[in-house]
Amino acid sequence: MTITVTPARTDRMEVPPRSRGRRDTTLLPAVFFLVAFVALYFGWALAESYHLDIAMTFTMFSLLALGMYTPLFLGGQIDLAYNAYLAAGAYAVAIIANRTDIPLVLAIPIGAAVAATMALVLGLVTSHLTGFHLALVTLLAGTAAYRWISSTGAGLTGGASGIGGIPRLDLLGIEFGREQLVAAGLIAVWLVAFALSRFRRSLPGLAVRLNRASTPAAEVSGIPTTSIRLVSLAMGAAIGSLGGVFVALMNQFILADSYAPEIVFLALFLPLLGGISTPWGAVIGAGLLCFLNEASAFIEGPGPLVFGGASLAILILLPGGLIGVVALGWSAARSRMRKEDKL
Amino acid sequence: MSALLRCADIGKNYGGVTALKRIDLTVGVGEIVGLVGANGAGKSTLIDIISGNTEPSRGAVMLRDREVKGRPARRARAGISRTFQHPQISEVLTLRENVACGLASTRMRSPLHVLRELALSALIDTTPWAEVDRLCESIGLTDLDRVAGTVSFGDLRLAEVGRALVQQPDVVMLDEPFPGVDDEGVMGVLAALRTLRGQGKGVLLVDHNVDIVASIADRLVLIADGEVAIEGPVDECLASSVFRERYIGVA
Ligand SMILES: Nc1ncnc2c1ncn2[C@@H]1O[C@H](COP(=O)(O)OP(=O)(O)OP(=O)(O)O)[C@@H](O)[C@H]1O
Ligand SMILES: [Mg+2]
Repeated sequence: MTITVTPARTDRMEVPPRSRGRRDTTLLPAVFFLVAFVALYFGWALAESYHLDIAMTFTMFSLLALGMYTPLFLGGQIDLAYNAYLAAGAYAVAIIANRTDIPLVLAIPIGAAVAATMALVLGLVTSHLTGFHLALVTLLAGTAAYRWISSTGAGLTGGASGIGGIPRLDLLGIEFGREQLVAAGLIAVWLVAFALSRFRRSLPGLAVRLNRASTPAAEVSGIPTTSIRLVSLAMGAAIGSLGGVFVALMNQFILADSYAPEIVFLALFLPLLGGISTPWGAVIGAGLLCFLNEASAFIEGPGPLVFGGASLAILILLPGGLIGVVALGWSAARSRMRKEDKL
Repeated sequence: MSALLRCADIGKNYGGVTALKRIDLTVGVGEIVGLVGANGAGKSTLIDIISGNTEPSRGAVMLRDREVKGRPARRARAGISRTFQHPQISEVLTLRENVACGLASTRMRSPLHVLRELALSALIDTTPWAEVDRLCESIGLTDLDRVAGTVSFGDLRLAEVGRALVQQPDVVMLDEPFPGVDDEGVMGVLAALRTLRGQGKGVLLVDHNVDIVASIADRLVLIADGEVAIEGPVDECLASSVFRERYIGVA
């Protein structure tokens, strides 16, 4: 252990005021995850068939958690209807494949539009109420949506037994089998996380974040607080629906039980586990979930309890999530290097 | 001097409490008006009414002879900006980011603008950060990468002033911007206000430091008992016995 002398304040004054401007901090993590995803895909996912299933579970949970990231962790809006948004994507695939002549790929925008519309309506009816009401109303909506699809679903959803017979997606001459779907899923996760990490620092992202801290401040800054809230809710729902699209295409069938409200509570933990200072935290959280799920039969049986306990421990011990630990280590190493430079 | 901002017959009751009885006030083109009054006189309430953060019980606010109405964001886009007596910022954003939020008043004017910003946000960074940095530097706010939750009260105030000025407003209202701000910051803010005056903008300045206000204001307005007790050129006001009784006497 070396003892370093903190430079006196006068030292700092002599340094000419540099206006370095704002550094782009989004590229480094994006490159890291690009490499990680490529390695994961070619080195691990392709090795065994069931690895593909785990990678798809990872994709789904990542998109679910990334969906929640903007409204919840940037905007402070507790939207709990994400099981319904996920279902919107999945059922869009199943219904379009089985009951219409619409090209299957259009399930992506249609699912996203349905989910976004739901979120908009839920956001609108609660716009003059508090965040507590949004949580309440979306919880109710998510539960109602689950009941609806698992019972009659207006003859559309196949009830509890779901819908099967979903063909492989054929796009531009490429047939999207399991391997291709996992690759596409990972690409989607990477793109969404990267885009969100840039959104977070952009003017609309800052607007969402200022509005969370102080609506009066956001208003007097000229931020259209109502629209920006609705936009963030719709954006999150659309991202969540994408997870449903991928899972339905992968499994070629859907079951109503996959869209029970419980999944929302699991997904809520993921960004917290990974760290909410960046959307990549949601991806890390999803990865951790899949890893733990592999380590034991987690989601079934006592899984949620153990997962909940473990999560709580992480949250209490590491409030910044896993990324927080890495960031702490990084900044400690950097300030050490700087001090050594000076000596 | 033609009026840029005009408050006509503004009154405000909070339940049974009358905060403002009847206020008529104008800010002219290229004019800095110092608004003073004892604690609880209603200065902040008047600013809240002009910016749309509080509904008046009575009266109207006109900008260039057109009534301004609606929520604060709309008025901000129309050219009215302000700071809060108790700084309202995001503690998790950096100083630079807090200031940049004021750009919303020009860059998020309409739903179309919002969508454009959204679509671009993932691809390229179109925010004029250099402009933000220059403005901050001019009011003595430096080290802009600092997270707002970690800075001094004075720097929080300066960040609020920066956020109000980056909006390029027609009228800016500063509610006690100086407590906790060091001399360099005070000089910076005053210089920025003089620049605004030179550009024909209007300034409504509230502060308990009468020396600072008097040093820059073109006109003083004293409110007491919910009404304008005296208004006029700075020297006249300061010399008047009414001013001393109703403000300094009380304070
Ligand atoms: N939300 C409110 N509810 C009830 N009364 C209020 C409210 N806001 C302000 N008041 C009252 O209105 C009066 C004017 O308050 P205001 O804050 O506008 O005064 P001020 O001139 O800004 O005072 P200061 O110099 O202390 O900032 C005070 O009597 C205050 O108690
Ligand atoms: Mg006040």
